[in-house]
Amino acid sequence: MSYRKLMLTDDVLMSIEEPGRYIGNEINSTMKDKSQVDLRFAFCFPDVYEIGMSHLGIQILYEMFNRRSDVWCERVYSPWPDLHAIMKEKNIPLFALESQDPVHEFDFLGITLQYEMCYTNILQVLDLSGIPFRSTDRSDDDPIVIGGGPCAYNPEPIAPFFDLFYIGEGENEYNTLFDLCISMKKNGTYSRKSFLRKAAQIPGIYVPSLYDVEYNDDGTIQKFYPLYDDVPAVIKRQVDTDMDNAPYPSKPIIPYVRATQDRVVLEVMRGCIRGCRFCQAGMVYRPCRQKSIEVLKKYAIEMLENTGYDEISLSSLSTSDYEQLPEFIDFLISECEKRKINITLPSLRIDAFSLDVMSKVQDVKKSSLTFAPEAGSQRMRDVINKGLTADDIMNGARDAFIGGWKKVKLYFMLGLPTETEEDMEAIPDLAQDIAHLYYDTLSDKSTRGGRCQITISTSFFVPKPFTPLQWATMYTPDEYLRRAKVVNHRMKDEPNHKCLSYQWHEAKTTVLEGIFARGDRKVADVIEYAYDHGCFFDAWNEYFKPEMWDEAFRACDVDPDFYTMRERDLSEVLPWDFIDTGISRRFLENEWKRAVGDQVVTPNCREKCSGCGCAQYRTGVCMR
Amino acid sequence: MDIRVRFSKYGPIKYVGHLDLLRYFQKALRRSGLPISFSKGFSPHPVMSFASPLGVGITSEGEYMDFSLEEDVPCDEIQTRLNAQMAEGVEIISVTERHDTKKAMAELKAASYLIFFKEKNPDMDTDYDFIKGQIDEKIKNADSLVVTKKTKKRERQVDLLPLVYEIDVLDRFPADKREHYLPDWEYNGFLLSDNDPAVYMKVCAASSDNLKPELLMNAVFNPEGKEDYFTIGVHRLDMYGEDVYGELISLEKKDA
Repeated sequence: MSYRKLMLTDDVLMSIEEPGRYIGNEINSTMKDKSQVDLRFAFCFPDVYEIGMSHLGIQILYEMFNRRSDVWCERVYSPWPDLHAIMKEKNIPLFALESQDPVHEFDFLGITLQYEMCYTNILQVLDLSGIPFRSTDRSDDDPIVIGGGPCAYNPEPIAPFFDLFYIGEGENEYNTLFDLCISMKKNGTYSRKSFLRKAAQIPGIYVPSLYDVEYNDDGTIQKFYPLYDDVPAVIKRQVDTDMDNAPYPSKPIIPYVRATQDRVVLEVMRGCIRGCRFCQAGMVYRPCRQKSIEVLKKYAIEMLENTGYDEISLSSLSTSDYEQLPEFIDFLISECEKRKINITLPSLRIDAFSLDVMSKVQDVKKSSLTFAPEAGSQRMRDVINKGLTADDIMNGARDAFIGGWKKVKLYFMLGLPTETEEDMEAIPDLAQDIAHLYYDTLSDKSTRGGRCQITISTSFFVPKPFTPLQWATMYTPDEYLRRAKVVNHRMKDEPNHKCLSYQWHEAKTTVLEGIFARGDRKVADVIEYAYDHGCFFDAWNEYFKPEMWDEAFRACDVDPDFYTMRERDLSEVLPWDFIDTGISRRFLENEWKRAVGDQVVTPNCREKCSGCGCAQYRTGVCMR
Repeated sequence: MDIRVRFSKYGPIKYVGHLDLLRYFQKALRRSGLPISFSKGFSPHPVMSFASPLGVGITSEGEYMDFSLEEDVPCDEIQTRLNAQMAEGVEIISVTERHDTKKAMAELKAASYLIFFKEKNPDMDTDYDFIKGQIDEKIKNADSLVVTKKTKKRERQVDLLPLVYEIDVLDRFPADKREHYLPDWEYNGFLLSDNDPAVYMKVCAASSDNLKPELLMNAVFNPEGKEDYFTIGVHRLDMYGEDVYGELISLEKKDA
């Protein structure tokens, strides 16, 4: 009998947590004969298996790559610290799950960059794979290391670690890149250098080693430029203009170990019409593109039948904005009732329609409703262009209480530009108003059945590239905590404080995230120093070592405050300026002024085109 | 229609724990398209139950799962449709219709195992004569084998011998089983060559007195509980209930 030999021996697997993370061969994973393919791609999500397996983007590209008979795409995740220690001690190379072959034998190592706090885990993956950290130190035998995903919109803090970045949606140009690599390897012209030089010509491909940066005395960028004439000065974001025919995994991989996203995930729409000024996804996935309802119906049924999942969830930045949502939900409810499938609907705006839907698909008594006003005062919501009014929230909450819900979650940000004490205090005040409304709406004590529970949750605002707030200052960890205390004190004085609870985010992580989000190439040294001194899994509180990061900045002579503690001038060259996301600089500057100056809202893409520039892609909402 | 399935579990999937295996079967049942019976309530799931959880890393050719169908389907068709949904290492060995409503877990009285040794124990003698000598002395010719069982709240003394129904030392692990269920034996340092002995045992598995083979083997070979001295490999052969005469009978045959 033939069997897959695992990279890890029985002794190792029996001594670690969740050995099922490392065995591969899950239902619907792709096995191929490695001697029959021309190119092997190891696709890595640099975090633990359960998180990585929940990511839709990899599943889409895994499906797309493996449709090619000459390519075999496999998966790699960060070994958890227990296994990491064993692999370091015993010199076990990092391996891909499907073939269990070392990553080092692959042609490509693709790393998806979903959040900044995974940056040290990139180095962990390179380290365990035996690939030099810096592109410039790699040989022709090392895999090509390629990055992509939202954090690639400012790749500079991790630029030296990558051979190339793919800017935008992978559906467009990966095949061109693969064809180039395969043909160069077949005709014997392949070398790392020659391949990267040619790859730099492909739309959306950024090869950091072919560019140089010069700095001003104050540390800001003076000039960012390509080293050769044939290398483009500007990298254009790739946008898939045909959502209905885009590859989609109708047979997604089903993990043995329970993943965070343990259900069918159906992408209904890409991009968002709303234009919230803090939201990077809302900008860099423009234009808003809906899938047709026929395509969604087909995928929903196929995916349920191919997986046996007992739950389906709709994915988009704002599912309420999907225009045929009522019809699609009716379809789902009738199909799922037949099949005994649960429906979960995240990112729905709370209104009469969504409450009606939710009362049909979930247990009202047990579930909680989530509102994301993002800011407490109307003035602050206008600054961030969150087109949600206190009336919208109160009407939604009233309907919810009448419908039987008692638990409400409220999400806010602290530290937004122009924020004052009143804005902070408006957060618990809004929660108080909702609690009061509960007792007002359900005034009969005997029928209302107990207290309502309002949970306030705040994160600290991190300015992101290619958003209108990309020029904003951040604050010190102490200042963030002071703001959280203002909220906390005020909450305790509210008349209905017994119904309210408050949790806030870690302040030091926020500041580090802010440095990575808007950092330049100098930050790479700090990340490498921190990894060399034991930092990884920074997104996990139990592994985050703030003192070591402080030491890393000192040792590398990089001033963290330079990245966080100042408002940038509109004339400053930003590290990510060489990327063209299709959103015009004029639009972003205008929106920044409307935010902090006039404090007025901008209509959404369906109400009125605001001329952001993405109409050039000639697709989606821009074609109305 | 009440169904009992016997299945095997080996290869990489042996590292998947019991709760994950349960979720694996829930999905496989749905994918099979069989008319399975569901629980009631807000999140209905297939009604299914297992005879006994199998520890992570243990292989088996005698696992049992019960479930029900809303309509009658021939057993061989059920087997074909389920096998079409299995991952490598899980095989549906048999499907039988049940007329007794008692679940496998409630019926379970005993389980049989093959035990082997690992290279990891360099200090321990693992040749046939030594193993046979120890088993004879401490089990076959002994009056009692008392161990201290620790639970969260208290310790208690238990005599393991009444829980051991059969035990034999084999001069080797059966080669066909080895090649089918443990093809990775050499690579993993399992002592399964033709010169290595194995232990066959049939022991109590009733919920109150379930005897884990590891506990029995430790009581014989490592009573002081030395660390890094003693690890064994376990392969489950079958599980048993009682027939009307009180004799042990495979759960597969019982009420078939």
